[in-house]
Amino acid sequence: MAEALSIDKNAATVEGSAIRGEKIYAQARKIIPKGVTTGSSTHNIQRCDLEANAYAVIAKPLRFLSSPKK
Amino acid sequence: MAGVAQGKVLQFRRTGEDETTTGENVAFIPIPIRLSQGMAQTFSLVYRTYEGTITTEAPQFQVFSYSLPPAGVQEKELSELRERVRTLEEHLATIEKERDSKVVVLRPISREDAKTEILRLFQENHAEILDYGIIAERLQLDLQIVVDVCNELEQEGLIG
Repeated sequence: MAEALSIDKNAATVEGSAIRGEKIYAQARKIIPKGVTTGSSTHNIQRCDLEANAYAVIAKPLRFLSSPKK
Repeated sequence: MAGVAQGKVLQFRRTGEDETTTGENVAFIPIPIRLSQGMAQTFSLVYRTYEGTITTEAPQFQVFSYSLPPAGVQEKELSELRERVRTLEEHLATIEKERDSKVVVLRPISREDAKTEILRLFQENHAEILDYGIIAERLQLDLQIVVDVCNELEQEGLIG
């Protein structure tokens, strides 16, 4: 799967990088649920770990442009 | 004299009613009982010791059948058991959900073919807003290929 890791060459691979979004698509060989957090600012936030060939991208609404932008 | 039975009610009939209400699972609900004086005095003992059917001339109930919780099982234990069953049911639902989760078979196609198919999908659904997840699911493509191709199509001004 090393090839799969390099398909999206724009993907950030720097350790410590963070992504934030309203909706994030993610995939990995192993997804480990970590339960629900509690507390004032993180109430009901669910956590999970993505392990092995993990990849995530923030969802972006796209549609066909009838007249291509130049 | 009055009392409260907390047992599994199988059958009862109210005074003045012709029909007998029967239900196997009318379980562990408090049932106010009015019994004749002699029975009311030993009502708590009745609840704990009697099994089977009581037929009484009580003013509220003409026929009262019930089964008791197993000996030694108190309300607290029943409450704990209910909670454990509820937890197990939740876990079971999660396991069943995971078991039934869809397996997506990705199609091994070239990047150029993927680009053609993605562009065609946008053209055929020009009024619809799509995103990476929808495209990857509909075309059974790897998410990374979809993102990469979409970025390229965006740069070419075909989608946006």
